[in-house]
Amino acid sequence: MNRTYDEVEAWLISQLAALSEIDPEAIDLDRPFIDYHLDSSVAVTLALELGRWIGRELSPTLFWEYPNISVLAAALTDPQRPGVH
Amino acid sequence: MAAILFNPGDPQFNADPYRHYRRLRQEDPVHRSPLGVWFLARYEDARLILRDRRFVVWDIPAQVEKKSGILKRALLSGSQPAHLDNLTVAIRHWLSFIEPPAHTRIRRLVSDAFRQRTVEELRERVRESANELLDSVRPSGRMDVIADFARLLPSKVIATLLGVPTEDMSRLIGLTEQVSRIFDPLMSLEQYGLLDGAALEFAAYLRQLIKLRRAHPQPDLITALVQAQEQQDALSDDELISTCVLLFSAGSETTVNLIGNGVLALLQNPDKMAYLREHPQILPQAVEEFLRYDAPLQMTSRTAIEDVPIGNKVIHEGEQAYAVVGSANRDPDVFADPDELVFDRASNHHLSFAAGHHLCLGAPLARLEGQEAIGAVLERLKDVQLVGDLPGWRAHVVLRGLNGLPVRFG
Repeated sequence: MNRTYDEVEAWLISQLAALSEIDPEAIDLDRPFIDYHLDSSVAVTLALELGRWIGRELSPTLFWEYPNISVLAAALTDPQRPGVH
Repeated sequence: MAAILFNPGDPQFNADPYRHYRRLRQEDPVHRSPLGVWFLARYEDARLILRDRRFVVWDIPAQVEKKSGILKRALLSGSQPAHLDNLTVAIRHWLSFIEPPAHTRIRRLVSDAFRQRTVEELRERVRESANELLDSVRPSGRMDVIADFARLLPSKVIATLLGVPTEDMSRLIGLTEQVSRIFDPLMSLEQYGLLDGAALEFAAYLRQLIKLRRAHPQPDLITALVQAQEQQDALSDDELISTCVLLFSAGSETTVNLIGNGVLALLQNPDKMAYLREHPQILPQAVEEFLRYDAPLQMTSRTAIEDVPIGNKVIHEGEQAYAVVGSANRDPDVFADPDELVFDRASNHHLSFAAGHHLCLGAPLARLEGQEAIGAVLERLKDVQLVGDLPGWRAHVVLRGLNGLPVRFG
């Protein structure tokens, strides 16, 4: 299933906002995930859930490899890099 | 894959972690990961955080409690477990996760219970068990060193020591394997849910066994711990159960890898295997070298309780840092020819049992099992050779062990 950049970005914002229990408006796309105190197994779980949602398997360490929303959404929707895992 | 200097969670990492460690030691020995966790790759730094009182053990139970809290608030979409409370209770009092004064009290009780039957007294029984296991596969001329031998021996020893009936062993090996994943820092919440189920079953089993031993004392470690509890009122029920789960887990999941990694090292160095076969008296030094060369536990974690400068960086209060033992053990500043298997090193102060007041309590037993197990393989099986390709490494980040090690012998 192909998701657009905007869809992936919106998904990440809503998840991160829910997890951090802050307003989605307050999520900064370029702020590192680390600043949101993302728990390690929550990060692994999010990578799994995200993979299910976009329809392909993603690396469990995705949130380490792509440290903020902009970079991650871009990598996941880059047609040149369909193999991002 | 984005450019990331050090990613032990990468599925390819376990094939050769030492290549990654070497790079880390050279390029960024005090490394902060993108999620804010530190990795210390040099011997000196790794040893420092293990011994320095400005660091305490990383409180994994508190982390599990935090994850349980996230689950209870149902902040995540998808199918997640409801909570992780059983797991929290089962690991809450593990010596590896607590600090003084509780650590001092429980460690003393466990050491006393251990001391009632000294480790050397166990040697004969470990040897018998090792020989029995090997004799049962010998006629076939082949075996899987992991499944048929290394996995069974330590569990058998710890079950004997604790006083667990033989018929319950395979069930307990399964539960132990699951709970031991707790050291793995890269698990999803669903995986934690499986651990929680195993912890629930484990605790229920132990509760029954403790009840039995209380009524009918036996010459085993569980009885000794039950009696310590009664005489000094020093161990709560939760502490007792948690400690038994720890002994099972620590007693088997690491030793299997000492044996497996040791046999692999010999298979890959046939001249060393031949030498050891002819000089079994150096088995103790050989086992120290196996521990250094391919450590069963590759990294262990601490938390800074104040800001600590290391190199030109500062580990801040509250931050988590891994002593990367597998890398420290191969630090060329400390060990000459670190990537070679050398039995007669003048000194071999590896960090595989950690250091400081959390130095592995079971180290003497692990050494004994390593010596007897590998000694028995060399003595009883001739011309041991690897069959086919190596089945690869288990998908653990912290524990280093093989999926299997198929061999044939003459």
